[in-house]
Amino acid sequence: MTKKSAGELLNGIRQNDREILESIYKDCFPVIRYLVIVNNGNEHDAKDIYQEGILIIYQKSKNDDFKITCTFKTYLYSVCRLLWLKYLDEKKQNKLILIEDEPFKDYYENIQLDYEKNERYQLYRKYFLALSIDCQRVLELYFSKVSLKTISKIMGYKSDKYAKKRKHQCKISLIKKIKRDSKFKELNNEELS
Amino acid sequence: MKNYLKSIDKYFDGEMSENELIEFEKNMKSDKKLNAEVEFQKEIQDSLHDKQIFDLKNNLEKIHNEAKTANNIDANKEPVVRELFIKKIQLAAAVIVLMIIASSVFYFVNNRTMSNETLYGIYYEPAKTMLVERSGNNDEVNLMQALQKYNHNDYTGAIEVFEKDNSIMAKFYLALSYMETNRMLDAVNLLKAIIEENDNLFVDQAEWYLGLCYLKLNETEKALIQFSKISQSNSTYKIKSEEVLKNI
Repeated sequence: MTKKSAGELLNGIRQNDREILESIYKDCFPVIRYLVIVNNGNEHDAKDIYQEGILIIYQKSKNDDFKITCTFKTYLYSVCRLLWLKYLDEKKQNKLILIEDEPFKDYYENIQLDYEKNERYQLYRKYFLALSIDCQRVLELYFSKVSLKTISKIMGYKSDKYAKKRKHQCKISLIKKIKRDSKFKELNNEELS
Repeated sequence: MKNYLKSIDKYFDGEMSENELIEFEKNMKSDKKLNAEVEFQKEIQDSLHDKQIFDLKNNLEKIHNEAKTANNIDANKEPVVRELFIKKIQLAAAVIVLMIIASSVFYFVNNRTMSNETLYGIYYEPAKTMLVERSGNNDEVNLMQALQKYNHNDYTGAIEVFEKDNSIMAKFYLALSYMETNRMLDAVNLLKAIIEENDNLFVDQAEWYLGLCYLKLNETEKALIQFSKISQSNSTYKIKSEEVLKNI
């Protein structure tokens, strides 16, 4: 058991602190792994669910209001449990061999929204990584509010105008890829076409 | 759509004149499609703006891989339910093949590949129980103690407690405890009840164990029907049931 408080662990995650991430892994992964494996999952699923759980907590922790009132382990477990339930639900295998976990109920409503957001974020990241390295860099700079002039310099483009054009192309390409994904259609309202 | 994208670009790049901006924001309020598109693009930016999330993900992946490499030997020793299942099936398959070859003469006379009893012996194994650390109300504590008894092969002790508990979980492990103590008919009745109740966490397992009970009771026809039913479902026991069917 790690003796660090939930707040310290959250800080560690926010700062991508290797030591803290390792201690969380040692402390929490076995439980998550057990949860997934006794419920129709395999080693790979367990790893994915664990990592997504941490990423969700990371995203939540960026919000100043976010606080964990139970132990970090319990919180992570409840997030991962919901992720896995959702996954099984999608696979129509929603039969968890578990005892109803009363203490976690409070978190579910909150986590539900995070879950959907996280699903979308995952999709965005997936298709972002599917872009050419060139496009990834341009968009990365652009989304970090770097000026077109600087982007053009960094990328070695002839003009700002070209940087702008390139940015536009890359963004459209990313948007198209995301929208084509059937999962995205499920996650979104029909307004987006 | 094309016009949308151009003006959205202008909007995000801060290239709109004051009038254009007012007009655009007004449109966003009335035009749901435009609004959704803007929100969508904002969300993409939010998700990707944060370079650290990629680093975090990489770090998590590294930690996992290193732990896996370091614990490779340990990990193999741990009872990973499904992997063990598969290994057992492979082993069982190997045993079956050997037996078929070794006693082909016997099987020539006796058309069946394996006796129900042998099949039961190969496929029956006690169910895994969930280890729970926390303590709740008294019933729950009793239930946990009974599960521990079950885990430690004290089936008579476990039965005493399970019989007093009405929860589905207690019923399920009671049925398994009956199987362990050779009270097959009691087990059958309970498993049927669990299956009938449907919509609970133990149905797939109950179906499987019911099939095994029929094997043990030498009720071949019922066993055939039961395993066919499982093999046609999406149960986790589908493959195992197909294996059993081949050997009944």
